[in-house]
Amino acid sequence: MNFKFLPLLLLFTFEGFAQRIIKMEGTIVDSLSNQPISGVAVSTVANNKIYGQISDQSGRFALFLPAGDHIISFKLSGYVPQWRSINEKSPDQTLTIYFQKVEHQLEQVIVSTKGYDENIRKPLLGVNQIDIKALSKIPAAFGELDFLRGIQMLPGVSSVGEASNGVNIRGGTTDQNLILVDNTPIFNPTHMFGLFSVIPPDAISNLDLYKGNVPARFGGRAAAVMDISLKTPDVTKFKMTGGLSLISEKLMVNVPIIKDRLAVYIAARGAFHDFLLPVFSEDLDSVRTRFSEVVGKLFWRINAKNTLSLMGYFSNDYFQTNLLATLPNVVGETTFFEHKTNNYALKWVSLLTPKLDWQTTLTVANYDPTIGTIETATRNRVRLESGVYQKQATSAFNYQGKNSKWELGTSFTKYHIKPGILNPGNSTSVNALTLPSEFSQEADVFIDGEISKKQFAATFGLRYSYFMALGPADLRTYQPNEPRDDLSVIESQRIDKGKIMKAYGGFEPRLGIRYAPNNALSFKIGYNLMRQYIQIASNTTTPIPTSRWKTSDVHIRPQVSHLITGGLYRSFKNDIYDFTLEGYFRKSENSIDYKPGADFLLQPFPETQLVQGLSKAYGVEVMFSKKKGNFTGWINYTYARTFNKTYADVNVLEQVNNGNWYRANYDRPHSFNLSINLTADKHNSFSFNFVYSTGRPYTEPVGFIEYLNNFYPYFDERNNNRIPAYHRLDLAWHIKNPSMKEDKRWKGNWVFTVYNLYARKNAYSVFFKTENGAARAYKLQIFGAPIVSLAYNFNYE
Amino acid sequence: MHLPMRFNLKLLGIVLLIAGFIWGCVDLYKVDIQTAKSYLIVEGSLNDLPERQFISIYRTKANTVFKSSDFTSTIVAQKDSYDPVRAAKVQVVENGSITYSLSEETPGFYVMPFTFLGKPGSSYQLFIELSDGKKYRSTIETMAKVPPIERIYEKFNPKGILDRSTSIGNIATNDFYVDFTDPVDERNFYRWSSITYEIQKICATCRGGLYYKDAGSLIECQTDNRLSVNNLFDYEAESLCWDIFYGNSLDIFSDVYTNGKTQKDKLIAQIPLYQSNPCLVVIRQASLSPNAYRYLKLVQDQSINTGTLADTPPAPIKGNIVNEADKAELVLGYFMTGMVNENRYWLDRKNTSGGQPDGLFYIKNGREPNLEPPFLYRLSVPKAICVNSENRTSNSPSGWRF
Repeated sequence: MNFKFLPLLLLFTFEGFAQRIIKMEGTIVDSLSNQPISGVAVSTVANNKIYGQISDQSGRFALFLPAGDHIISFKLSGYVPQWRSINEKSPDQTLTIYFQKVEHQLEQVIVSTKGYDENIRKPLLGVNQIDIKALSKIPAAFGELDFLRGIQMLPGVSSVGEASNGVNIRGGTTDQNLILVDNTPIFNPTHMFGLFSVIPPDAISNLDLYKGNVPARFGGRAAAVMDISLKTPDVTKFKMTGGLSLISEKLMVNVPIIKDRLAVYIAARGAFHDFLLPVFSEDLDSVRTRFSEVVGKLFWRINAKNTLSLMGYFSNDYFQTNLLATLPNVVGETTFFEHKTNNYALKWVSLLTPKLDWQTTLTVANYDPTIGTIETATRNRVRLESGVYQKQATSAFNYQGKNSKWELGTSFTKYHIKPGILNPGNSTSVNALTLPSEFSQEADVFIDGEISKKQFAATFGLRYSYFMALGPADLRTYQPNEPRDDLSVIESQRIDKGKIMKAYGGFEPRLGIRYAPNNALSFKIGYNLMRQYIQIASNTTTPIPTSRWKTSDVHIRPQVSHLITGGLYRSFKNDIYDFTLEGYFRKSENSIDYKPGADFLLQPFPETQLVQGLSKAYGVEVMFSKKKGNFTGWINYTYARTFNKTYADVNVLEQVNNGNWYRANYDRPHSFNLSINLTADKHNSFSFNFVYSTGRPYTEPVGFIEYLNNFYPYFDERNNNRIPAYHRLDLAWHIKNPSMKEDKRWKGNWVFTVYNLYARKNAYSVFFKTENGAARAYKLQIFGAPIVSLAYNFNYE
Repeated sequence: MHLPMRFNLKLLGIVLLIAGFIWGCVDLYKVDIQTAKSYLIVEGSLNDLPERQFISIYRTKANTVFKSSDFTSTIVAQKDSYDPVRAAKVQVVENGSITYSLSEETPGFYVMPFTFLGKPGSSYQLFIELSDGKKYRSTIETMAKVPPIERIYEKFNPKGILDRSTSIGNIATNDFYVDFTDPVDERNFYRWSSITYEIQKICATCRGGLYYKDAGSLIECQTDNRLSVNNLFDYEAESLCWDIFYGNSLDIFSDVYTNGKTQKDKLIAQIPLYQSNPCLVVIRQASLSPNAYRYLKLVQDQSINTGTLADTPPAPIKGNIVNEADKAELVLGYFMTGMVNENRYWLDRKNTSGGQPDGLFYIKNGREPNLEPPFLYRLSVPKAICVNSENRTSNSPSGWRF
């Protein structure tokens, strides 16, 4: 979070009794370079109070503790945590802690569920913090480190399959997750239709996944938040990391411009090798695919109290084939998809007093997807372009009190959606066509508080969001009792530019309570309400990059989600083992689904294609993990269900499954994940993943008819059957620094990965195809064979 | 040596990825589907041509089992899955005033009066009253205009299509393309269809028996004890005989992006090379109503354009026929009207290769004809009658070149 910008921020708690106080002070330095390390959380619990501090820029810390036996923990992401015990009889102590980087030694940092030990942070439910080091241990397809695949190893996170463009968290749709990269939203999180996620792995610092309690500073999505923090440029030294895999190349260069004050890094990854494809098969001649992403970040420590950072994120995708359906109603044989993201963030942090800071962030997010057809005769490109643009300003105060912590802030957001522009290029056959843009804005205020007293701790957040759909627009009114379509329009009213067409607003309370009878056990309950004003209108199983984003308006009401969670957390043997049990129930109002047979392409009135209704989801998640040692890992099981239902007032002809509850596309009742990491010696470690989940629902025909000289399936109820269960085993072998020389500046690592080790032909979808008078059923597999890959990564400091 | 190795690995990775991603990983999947309910199917399209026009009404049987077959995985019904709907009262009302009553020609097959000729711009509505009193009606469909085909041409395509109705699987085709100009002042929706007339020299086959022309009954084959029960004899047609093939592709188009523009090189039919003999191809460019287009687009999306990463999950497609008492009842099929622009194309097949002269019989049956040898069983072997049906005619089609 924000603390890394505030190395001087102190988190003091004082003991008020007239008791003997012992002082423990010291310095924390890197075990190899002897450089001081700032930002290390130094803490302990005594008499049910937390005593904590963050080491300052020179690595120093000082704790004043009541006399007694204490275990002091030292923690910083990327370093191996340490514990020191202090004896009742000890005099005041001065310590030097030699902190080891995770990569320097054997012990692993793994994904942790925040339990009692995370006492510097909030007592929230359903929060997972994922360190990039942990992510890099998870075996990945083609050796490409992938945060979206990584988090699917956690309970409560699933997807519709390997080509899923996003994940489903606790019964939410993919667009109900807010994905933030350094505070800027990502509208399309994957490359190549879901195969790779879009953040350059070297630049990721950590990922906070909020699937239960979500702090009130986050808003705008109804299910969960994935808050990805990029690394802060290192102002002390030049660094370079990079790697090669079968798919891509990556490089990250960190350059301090003014030592200790100003630094910049650029991290890039690219895959451009498609020109080789025809060598292998003539059929691949028409396939072109490439993707790339670049992150640049500048960090300026203006003075001891002010820092400024500027981040730019750019992502590009191109995919061309004549093996997929073309843009309908344009004569041509080759289809291409192209999408671009350009995000920018400027963040200013000012330390007003040692306990109070002020943060202001300006962000811009631009997402431009295009689908197009290449006309056969002329090779002219006909493009259907669209865009989602968001600008946001956020300003917040953070106050760190004695037993409490507060954040108060406000934000203002402008949305601009271009739903579709048909650009014919030089075509003589196609017309130019532009759908009117949609404009809207949102104003929010929020407060987050955290108070701890004895065994109890509570977080409470309150957000008020006010959303305005603005003109210019043509606002239609429909006959109330008829299907919403072009025929039932009563009138169409012109809304002028800037005029409020429709406003929605409401409070969003967030509450979490923790009761911890002792150090190793805690119980938590939480309630969360979130409102969502921008969503994907899609009729595909998983949204495609070109799926249409739609803001709420007169006809599309905002989605409102209520989530109740409860959990039990138990740690054993000094936090070596962790057990968590969480349950949740979620109800969403105004969740959107498409009408049977909806089409959103260049549709000026998407409300004619959508229906709204209720969604309910519930589940139980159990996870057991071993967090330290040469053998680490976790095992978890989730029982989760998600059902949807269209509102009763929707016309009978537009009801889905006659208005009854029906299974969501991603309703997979049983999921089981196992992840093991074995460290053999200083240079070799092995990871295994095993995943199992119930097959997702699909719509199977109820029969076949001969019609128009062919044999066609016909369908009745949506999601009436399931595809076969999914399971898979992966293996990764990490070889660290095989040259065995410890003190080299250049360190190389190899990763050998086998994804889908026993070649399970997992179905991604089951579909029915009518071909020349006969119908057949097929299953589509994304990775039907073991995917063997080798990647090389290096680090130069 | 390091670099070339990486190069190859990378190549391998990309190929694995793309191959798996696009086409490498589609397998047949066996299904066993039991239809619980029974559904009404109505199929019919009225046009402006002076020809026999009809509406067919069937009902699917409840509890029919559809199963993937063992070897080819083709989904087939385990038993007859339809019942014709007999003795229904079927009417078409033109412009809300003129009522045409249809007569049941064969079970479930209702024919418009011969005087009927559809008129572009007129509206039509179908009314059905079943013998049990249930009443159905279609929405009002207006017959839209269709522009003429400006140019039609064909190219030989040796790769062809997968045609599972033949004995050989993949078959070369002649691909037909059209150019047309979309009218600027109206929304237009198109559908193309094709009918092919192929000369068929053999038009009767007897199993375990001999063919008699003057048998005096509908069965022309009479069992003969001198022959094994599986013996097959084929008989040549006594007159010219044409097999009729209806194109089964679903080619539709909307001018939503192309209003008023000339469309060139639109592929609209692929005619299989059943034999090297010339044939007559009737290409029809017809208009559709907006809703009929949407209906067919969904049929296409759910059963033809499937298998991509971004499929639209199938959903029940409601046609335009509703039960007046129960609007939620799913009625399959669509009552369409459309103006037709027809082009009768003489396909001489001079640009083809690989077709056999008089090869139609072989392709359809997977064997050469086995003519009854003369003088072995009787003095003269008769020629067979070319019996007219939906799929065969002895009347020379208009446009046939002798």
